[in-house]
Amino acid sequence: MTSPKDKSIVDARWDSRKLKAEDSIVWRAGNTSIWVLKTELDWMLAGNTDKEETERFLFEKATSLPIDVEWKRWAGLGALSTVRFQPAFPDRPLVVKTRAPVMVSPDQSIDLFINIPVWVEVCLDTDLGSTTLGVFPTRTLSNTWFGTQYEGELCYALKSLARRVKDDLTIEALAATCRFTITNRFEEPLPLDRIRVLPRHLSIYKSRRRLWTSPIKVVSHGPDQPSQLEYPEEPHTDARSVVELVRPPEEIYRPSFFRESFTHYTRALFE
Amino acid sequence: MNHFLIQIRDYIESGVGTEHLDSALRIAALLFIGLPIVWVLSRLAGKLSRKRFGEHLGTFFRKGIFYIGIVFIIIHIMMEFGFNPAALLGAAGILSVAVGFASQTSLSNVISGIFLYWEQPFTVGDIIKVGDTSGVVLSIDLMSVKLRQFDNHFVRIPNETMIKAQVTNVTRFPIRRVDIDVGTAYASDVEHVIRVLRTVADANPFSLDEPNPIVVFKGFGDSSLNFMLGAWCEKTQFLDLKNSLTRDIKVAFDREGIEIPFPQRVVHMPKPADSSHPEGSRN
Repeated sequence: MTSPKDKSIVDARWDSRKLKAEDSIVWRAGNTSIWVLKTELDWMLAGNTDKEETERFLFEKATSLPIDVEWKRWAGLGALSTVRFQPAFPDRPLVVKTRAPVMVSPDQSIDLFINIPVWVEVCLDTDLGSTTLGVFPTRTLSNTWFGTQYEGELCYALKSLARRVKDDLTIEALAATCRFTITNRFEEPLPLDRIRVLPRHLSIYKSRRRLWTSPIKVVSHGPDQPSQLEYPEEPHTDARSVVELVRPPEEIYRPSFFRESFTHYTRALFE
Repeated sequence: MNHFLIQIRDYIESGVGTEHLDSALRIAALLFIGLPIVWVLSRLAGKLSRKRFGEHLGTFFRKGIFYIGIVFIIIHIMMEFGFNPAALLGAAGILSVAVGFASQTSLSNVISGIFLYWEQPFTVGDIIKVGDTSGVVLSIDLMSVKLRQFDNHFVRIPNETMIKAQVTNVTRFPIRRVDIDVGTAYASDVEHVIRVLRTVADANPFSLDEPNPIVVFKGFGDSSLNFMLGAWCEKTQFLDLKNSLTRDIKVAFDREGIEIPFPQRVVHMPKPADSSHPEGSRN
């Protein structure tokens, strides 16, 4: 059994606590603070996003509870409860840009590394089962549109860029690193400037130092053909320490469900 | 009592009774079997066509099949009562001419309604603008389109008007652009203003990164340099973006020392004549 002192920073951040009546805890990372209070009969939860980002991580007994935030109350969730904090993905697809457009040569594969922000899901494990009390965003992501002005999909835009080398990515406390592999099976070079990531098909793993996602593999057969997507259910091979599954994918990807997951400039470039 | 039973037996034996019984059974079958079948068929057609063609064509097919079925049943019941359908249709023809003359507007609305069903310039739930009226489409019926205005007024617009007037469908496409006109003092640095407006749009969480926000230097106003900031948003976030963007521009301009001028007029007063030398006293 690992003592709390032996826990890695990642284990300490995504952990659980048993609460008795009138116990309360605070979880704080980045600019997100979450409070959980167990009353005699109910559970209460509140979250807040500060303008200032804190360097210090906190997961401890709350000394005081805020009154100027919105509290939610749950009733009838059973006794003997453990509150668990786990990473979750944003609720929409994400679009990430490359630093400069990358040309993928014919029959070549390249890797790109992306930091996908994670949100905080607060779960309650009781004798009656597990219940999600709330999911809290850890940063405000701007919106973007993936598609044309007539049809498309609302996505979040990531401000951080996709990198060719994993070590160029900074280790972020509230982000999971994703390896995106693209193979060009077309006879012309494939320009790649934006990538759309569907996080609902990804798993989250944790190593000692950071969170990882399962990899994404894309095979392109040219601008007129749909790309083949693959979301392998496997831990990240780039992690140096032991990885552990924290969250399985929300939805298993069906291969028949083709979608373009990156944009090309225009067809004119290929003609 | 015996006399009554004998009368019934004679009635049945004469064949007339059997005929009436058959008619009664057919009418009952039309009412108790035909009506539910029409109802089920209309629902089924409505459901299938709604899936394939959308909400209002679904309603069109459902109502159309239901009313045709009802008319069919009514004609058959009347035939059972001895009415001649040919005579009835002839009378209906004459009647329809008379009614047609008397209800040209209504017929025009009905025909316009059919065109609206097929053309589908908007669907139930869209926000449309017809002349000075705008609102959410509640229903598209054969005679009229019903709207709910944003102040919760109910508006009925005849279909004929809808066909003739210019209709703007505000929510047809998934994204919209919010255009905000803003003027700055003539002393402002144009490049600085454009940079600040672009930063404001980039920082707003409702504003889409792509399509990119645009900033246009529109020209020289009476008292101001005029700019337009156009930021895109998902159609349901239009008001959120408009409200927050206007506020953000004011805050950013105050912070950056960019003045938003008010209309000014420079009045040149002519110099008054020297009162110490009244005319005619120079000599």
